[in-house]
Amino acid sequence: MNQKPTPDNQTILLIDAFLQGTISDEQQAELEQLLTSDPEQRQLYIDYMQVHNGLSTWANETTEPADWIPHSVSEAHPSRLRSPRFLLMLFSSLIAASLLLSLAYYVGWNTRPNSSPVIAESPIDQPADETSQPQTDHIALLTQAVGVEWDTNRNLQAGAGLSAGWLKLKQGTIQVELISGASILIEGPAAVNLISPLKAFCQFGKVRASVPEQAHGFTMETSKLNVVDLGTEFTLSLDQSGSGQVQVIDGKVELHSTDSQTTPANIQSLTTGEGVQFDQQGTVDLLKEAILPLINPEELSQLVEQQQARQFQRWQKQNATLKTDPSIIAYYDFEETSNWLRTLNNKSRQKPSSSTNGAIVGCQWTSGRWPQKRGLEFKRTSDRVRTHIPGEYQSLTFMAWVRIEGFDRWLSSLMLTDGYNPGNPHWQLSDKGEMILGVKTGPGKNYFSPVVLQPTDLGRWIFLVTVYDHQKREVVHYLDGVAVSHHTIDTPIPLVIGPAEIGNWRPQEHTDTHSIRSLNGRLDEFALFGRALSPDEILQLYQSGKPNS
Amino acid sequence: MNQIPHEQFVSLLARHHSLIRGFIGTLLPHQNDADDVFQQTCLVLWRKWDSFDETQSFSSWACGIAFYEVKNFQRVQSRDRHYFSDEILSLIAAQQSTALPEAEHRQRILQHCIQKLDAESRKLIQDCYHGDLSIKEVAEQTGRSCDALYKKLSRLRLRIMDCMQQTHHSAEMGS
Repeated sequence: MNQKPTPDNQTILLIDAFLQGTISDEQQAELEQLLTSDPEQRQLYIDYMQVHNGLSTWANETTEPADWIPHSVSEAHPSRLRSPRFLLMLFSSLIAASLLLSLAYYVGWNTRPNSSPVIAESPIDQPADETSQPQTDHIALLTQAVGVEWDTNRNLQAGAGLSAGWLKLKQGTIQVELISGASILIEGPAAVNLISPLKAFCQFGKVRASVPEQAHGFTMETSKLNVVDLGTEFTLSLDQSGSGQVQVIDGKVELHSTDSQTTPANIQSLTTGEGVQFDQQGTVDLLKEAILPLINPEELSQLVEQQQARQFQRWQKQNATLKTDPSIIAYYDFEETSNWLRTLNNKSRQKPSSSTNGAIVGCQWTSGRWPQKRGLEFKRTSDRVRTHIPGEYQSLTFMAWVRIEGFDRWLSSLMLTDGYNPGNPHWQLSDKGEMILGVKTGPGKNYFSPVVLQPTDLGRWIFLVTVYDHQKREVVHYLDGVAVSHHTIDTPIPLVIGPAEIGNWRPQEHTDTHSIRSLNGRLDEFALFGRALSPDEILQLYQSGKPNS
Repeated sequence: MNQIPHEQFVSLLARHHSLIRGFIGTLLPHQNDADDVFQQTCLVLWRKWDSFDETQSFSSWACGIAFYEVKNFQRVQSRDRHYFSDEILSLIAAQQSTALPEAEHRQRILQHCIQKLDAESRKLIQDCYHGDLSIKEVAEQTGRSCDALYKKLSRLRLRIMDCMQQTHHSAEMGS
């Protein structure tokens, strides 16, 4: 089919009637005639129906709430296939329970079409191999990361959820807790592939696995040997060639051959203190002397604390600078002196008026990017910080450090003016992970970034900046210091804020279906500049404020 | 990687489920029919799993079985709905089976094209296709007539189809 079909194409009109159930007998006969006699019309039908089916699958799979966010789903059509999860029910009667875990894992994913694998860089056209895994289901959490330089594009921070896929470190140490209860420390340089909650593959690097009773059977695979843990703790160290050592710190492990065709599966068992070294030829010898144990979780925690203290000091320097920035209209650093204070003070020295101090409604005090930093938690639909920003601004820069816990609805407020009146800006996020700046000019204009937030960005601190630049006539969205999209402003107008809310919205007369826009997450720094910040300044702000190395 | 056979089945089905569901959907345009047949097909696939020959493609094996399930389904259905004749079913199925090897790639392009739509259109698609709301309810919410909404959906389908064609022939997807 080469020519582009138009909406008045007869075949399309007939298929539409067919889909709507309004097709007459004559039309049905005509459609059948077309499909029988003309392969091109048949192809058009197939292509069109595949779009129709694809949209149906997409709509049903993308609205499934992520399963780590409590959410009640009303099943309007229990008989309808909602997601691959139905397969679980289908098979549970057929297959032994041992399979269910892998089934849930293989099939129970929530395919956000745009979610890219956490770290594995897979170009969109790369054919997946037969054992490739769905990439959006979190099977682990990155709980600690110290001195890490990743060997991938995504810079993961502690707190990030991890899907199945590769973790590649040039240097540094991370702690990963799998949802089975097993936890592993990985010391770089290393490449480890998380396969399932009970299985990981180590290409090279040093790994220390702690396996509680609930996760017995956790297996660390290598190209030559699989280490099956039967309780507590072991270390594994592998060089780039695949030779290495295994040692049991406490408890018992079994070594299995990766090639169960030729050798018995279980090569040998090791108990506390015992170890082996093996090479590429598959030779396995008992270790004569203990290998140096890897860093342990306690040591890692201490390193994390030292790192956090250094980062917090770096932020404090920047904080002092921002307080004296003459262009800042409102600067909330959330560093209030006590927990019973219900005022979020504007810390800018040039404070235009005391109305720019925020009134905290509902939000609870909590920790921010570091344990010693304070922040506010926005949870309930009533939680908000009310403020009033006087004046008119040719250009504006919005800046926030935020930790999104979940997208409860289509829109989540970062800062919205009461109602939506001429000149009002609306800064918010969509549940797809788009950043949006809306400006009320006549009908209102929304500048949408592409989808930049992935499921893996939930639960980690992110740095959002949006610039409305009157001079350059453009809106630019930034994530973590980097511009993600540029938009032309057709007719720049001066912006006015007036009464507004951080993390929520007072819709006034706008009572449509999207009037609830409360944020689900934490904020620990928020600023409004009365000018357009440059890309360099924004990158600098990110560098001094980021909560990881 | 040595997988125990049933694990392999599950992973293959997980990977191809939307492709198989899509194939059935071109033969049975009514969503609920297609869902029922898809469930039935999964059961049959599992029952016949032992006879699956690993040298052949899983998707064409599965679509072959799905095709017979569609025909069985139509045979026992009452004739109160418009269904296609067996002859047309065979023609549609045969025409698709030649393109099965590319199906996964096409699905990725489809996802890519859905993402390229503006947020408002995506929201509309989600509301209409998700099944929680009837078309009439969505029409009321968005202040359109049902007819206008059907036309809008039709235009969106065409737009995505057009995007898929262009993407397929461009370097955008790096193929």
